[in-house]
Amino acid sequence: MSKILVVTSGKGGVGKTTSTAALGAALAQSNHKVAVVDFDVGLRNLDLVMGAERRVVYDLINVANGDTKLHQALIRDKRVDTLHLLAASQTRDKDALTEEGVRRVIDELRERFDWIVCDSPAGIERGATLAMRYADVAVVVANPEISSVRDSDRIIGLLDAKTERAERGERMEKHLLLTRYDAGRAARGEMLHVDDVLEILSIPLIGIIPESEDVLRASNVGSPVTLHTTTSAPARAYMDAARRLCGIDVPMDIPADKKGLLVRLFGRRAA
Amino acid sequence: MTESSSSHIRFRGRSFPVLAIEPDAPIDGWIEKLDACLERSPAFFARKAIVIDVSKLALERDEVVGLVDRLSERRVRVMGLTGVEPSWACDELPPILLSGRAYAADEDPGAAAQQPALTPQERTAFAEIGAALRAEKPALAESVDAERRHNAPLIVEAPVRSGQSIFHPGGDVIVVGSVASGADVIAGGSIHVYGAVRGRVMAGSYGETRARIFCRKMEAELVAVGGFYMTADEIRADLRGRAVHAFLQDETIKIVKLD
Repeated sequence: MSKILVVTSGKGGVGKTTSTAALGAALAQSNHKVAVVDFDVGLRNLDLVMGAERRVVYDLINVANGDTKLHQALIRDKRVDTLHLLAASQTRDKDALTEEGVRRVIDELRERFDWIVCDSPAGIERGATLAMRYADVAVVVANPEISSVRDSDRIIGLLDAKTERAERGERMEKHLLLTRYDAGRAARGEMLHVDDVLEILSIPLIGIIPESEDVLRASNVGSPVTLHTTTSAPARAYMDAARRLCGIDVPMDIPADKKGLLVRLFGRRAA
Repeated sequence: MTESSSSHIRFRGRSFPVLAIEPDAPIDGWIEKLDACLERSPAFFARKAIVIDVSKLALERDEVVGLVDRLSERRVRVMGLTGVEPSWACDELPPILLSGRAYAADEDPGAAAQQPALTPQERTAFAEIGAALRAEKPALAESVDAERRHNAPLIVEAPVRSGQSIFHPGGDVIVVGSVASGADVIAGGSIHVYGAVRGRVMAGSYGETRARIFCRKMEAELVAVGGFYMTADEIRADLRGRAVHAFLQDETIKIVKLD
């Protein structure tokens, strides 16, 4: 059965697109058929992070409006066969998206893929609400700082109110992905601690991605970090998160490059 | 016992009898009848508090905006609108009123609400114009009255998220979870939070000065009781993060540790 996963956060710049690419690639690497969909119409980035910017012909808006067939718009990843990208349009804006159009695209994607990973734009307006509209699972990306956490809290409220699943009275599965985490700085009180964030947001933790230059390096060469440097700390953290999304029980830790900094956080689950 | 001072800006819920007019379909025909009435007594609506009740009409928002405009042209000053979705609230429409109660013409609304009653002349006039406009009976909308409300508490069994607003004028609000930064809880009665309060909590918002706020962890942005409020800056540092209750004493909010 296919699952629609939305990667969202409210705040911009916390790592939604990076996480969408990394999680999408990690799921595809474990032989799931995956489509990553960029909902950031007008400010598309996912094609760059996936290294597919030079192969975009058709985009989400074209498919939603029925101008083209889905298979013509899907871009197959050159590194992983089971990974596909549906890019956003850069020349249009969010008003070009309609609820009906998005539903048609999602329904069609459901038939062909195990996971459909939707990269939400920042904010709480049309683009963001349509990205989450048909989701079954949400990954809420937050940085360990208060403004990001408060925006994430707002998004969690919207996930419980504005999604189709919530409107049907069903439970919306939500997971917290804490990105750009620096255990040392958290210990010194320079950023929020994992426990503080979990206490505020009270949703289960799916992964902690350490702050790392590997993430930026991978983005710059157009590769999801899970494909670029598979042994790096952030890549391992994303792969563990992807396994947890599939329901596999993986002990929670903060992967670190230096041994001895490894902070184990076994069995950390919030309400 | 610890206490802090509060700012003295008062707000309070009060109820007033107002004239609610109920247009009937078709609107054009009704406006004609209204014009006929106004011709007979042009000053009837002058300087009166008028509420439009469109609950019996299935109108679109634009049509309601049009109706309000047409009434304004006839110098009917509309102070409120009832019978529409609360989500319609916008700058083009008058404030939207909820939970109005109707009174028969011969009933004395003032006695019930402990407000000055209408003068007999006014009541006769209301009855007259009501009949003229073919309303079944003149209705007087009444807003919330703190003394009369003995409603059940509202129990919220989930965290109140940033941007959400819990509004329960009828009584206590009990939250099993936390109230996030950027969330509001507004209650006619007391507020109990079995978690941390990081947002704004307003108890006794209809002037009930005996209302209290209880919480497991006080980190609120704003605390208000019975119309008196206190911002985060005014809450003493040693109370932050503690289990406390807040109440009003001599028009000052007192916050006291529970443990």
